[in-house]
Amino acid sequence: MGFLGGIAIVCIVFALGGWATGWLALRLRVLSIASPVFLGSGAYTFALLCRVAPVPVAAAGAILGSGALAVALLSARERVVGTDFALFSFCVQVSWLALVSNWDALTGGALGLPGVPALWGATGLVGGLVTASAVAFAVAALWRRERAAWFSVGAAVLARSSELGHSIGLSPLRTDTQAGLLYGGVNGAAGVLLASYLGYVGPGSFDTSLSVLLVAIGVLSSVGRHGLLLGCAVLVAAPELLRLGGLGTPRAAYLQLLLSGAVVALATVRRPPPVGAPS
Amino acid sequence: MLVLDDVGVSFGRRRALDGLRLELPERGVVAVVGPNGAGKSTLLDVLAGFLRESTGRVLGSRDGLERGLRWRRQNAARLHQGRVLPQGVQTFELLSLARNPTNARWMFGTMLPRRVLDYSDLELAPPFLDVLRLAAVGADMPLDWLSWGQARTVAFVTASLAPKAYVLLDEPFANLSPALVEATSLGISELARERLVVVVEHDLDALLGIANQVVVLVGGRLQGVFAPAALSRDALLSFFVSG
Repeated sequence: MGFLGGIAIVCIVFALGGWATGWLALRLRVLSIASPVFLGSGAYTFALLCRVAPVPVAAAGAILGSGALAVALLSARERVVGTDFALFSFCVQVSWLALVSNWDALTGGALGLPGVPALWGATGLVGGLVTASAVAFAVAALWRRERAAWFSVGAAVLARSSELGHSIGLSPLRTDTQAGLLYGGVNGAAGVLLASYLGYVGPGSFDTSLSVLLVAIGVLSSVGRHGLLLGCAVLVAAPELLRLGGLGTPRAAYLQLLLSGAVVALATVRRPPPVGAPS
Repeated sequence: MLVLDDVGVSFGRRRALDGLRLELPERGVVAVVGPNGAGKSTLLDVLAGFLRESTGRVLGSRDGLERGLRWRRQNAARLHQGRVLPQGVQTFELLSLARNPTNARWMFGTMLPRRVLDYSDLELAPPFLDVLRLAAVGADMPLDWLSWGQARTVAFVTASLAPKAYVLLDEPFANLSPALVEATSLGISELARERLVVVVEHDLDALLGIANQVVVLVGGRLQGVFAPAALSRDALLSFFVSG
């Protein structure tokens, strides 16, 4: 796979993970720090299932598995509200990371999995994904100008008050289940893509710096129409270009983390009010 | 509609409700009055299914079967004291959802056109339309823009539109102008023609004008159930002081 093709794949992976994180924050008003758990579980499940099942089945299983895990995370949403959910999801992320990082110490076997097969031909993969992503975002943008999703309005009600939601006749369980499946499934798909691109899955790929990066892109995606593209360009493509252009991996990673932290801090301070609120 | 059989609620050592025996009718306005801390909102929480009674039972008046939290949640619409309207949603969108909650069941289900921004599509009864007009709440106004009083009126109309068997209103007249109190009172009376409406309110004059029954609570205990005509304002206040 070519130089630019690789950057495009990595950008798509982070765009998916960041979009899902931002979508959850925007719709259900909960900030999940645990996105790498679902991205990682997608990658690991795909790598494991590929050994016993055809690639498409393995990919579907990985996406569904990540979705189911995210449903479990969101099942705590009614009890763990507001900023507590960020703390809760951060603890889930830390625990998951501790588990996969020390798998060898716990079981005597390493959890690094080599030999993950590619989904399909490299050229077709990059071209198809870029085209599909562009079309999906354009259609969604045009559609949302004209129509609001009932589901989103219901999710906004439940995000504010489950009591009001119950009063209207909404089901928090049904809403959270679907939101979890989408959030986890999209992250799982990103994990499948990443594992397929790298050909190897290891615990080091899903550390806390990945959480910061996904949260940064998620925050950017939830504050403006072009936030997702901007986030991917500045936080993923630019450091990758600099890394491959001679900056070196450690410095590029440092720059990426620095930018991610700065973006989250700035966006928190300068974040515009919710959609429709007076300026 | 419902029978409260010796219902008590405790928060640790504190008894918020104590041995409450009460029968609520199928329809009409039941006013719940009492001083602050009397257990009025706690009673609404129990009736709404958001709070489990520590002692006693909530029963159906017809069949005598127990009505659990799930049943109560499914059948009650509750207007909370606080500001609970969602962010990033327009007034029309919320009211449309309250009218058609099943539309929000599935993520990839039906979509709501953004440009249909007219209350006429909601088929609101005149009192509710008057409430929104008097409060100057436009259909396309984002809920984040609304003042406290406007938000209360939208929350009231939302609770009224919800297809539930009974409606629980916690201080529906708070922070409203006299004209809006009057319009809201008409709305409550309209609701009570077909449903039970339980109202907790400190504005006794407005409340006694629309109530069919007045339940007096003091210190979590029932002081009595009265017909409004048989209860003067002074008599009510004496309960509060002596209780």
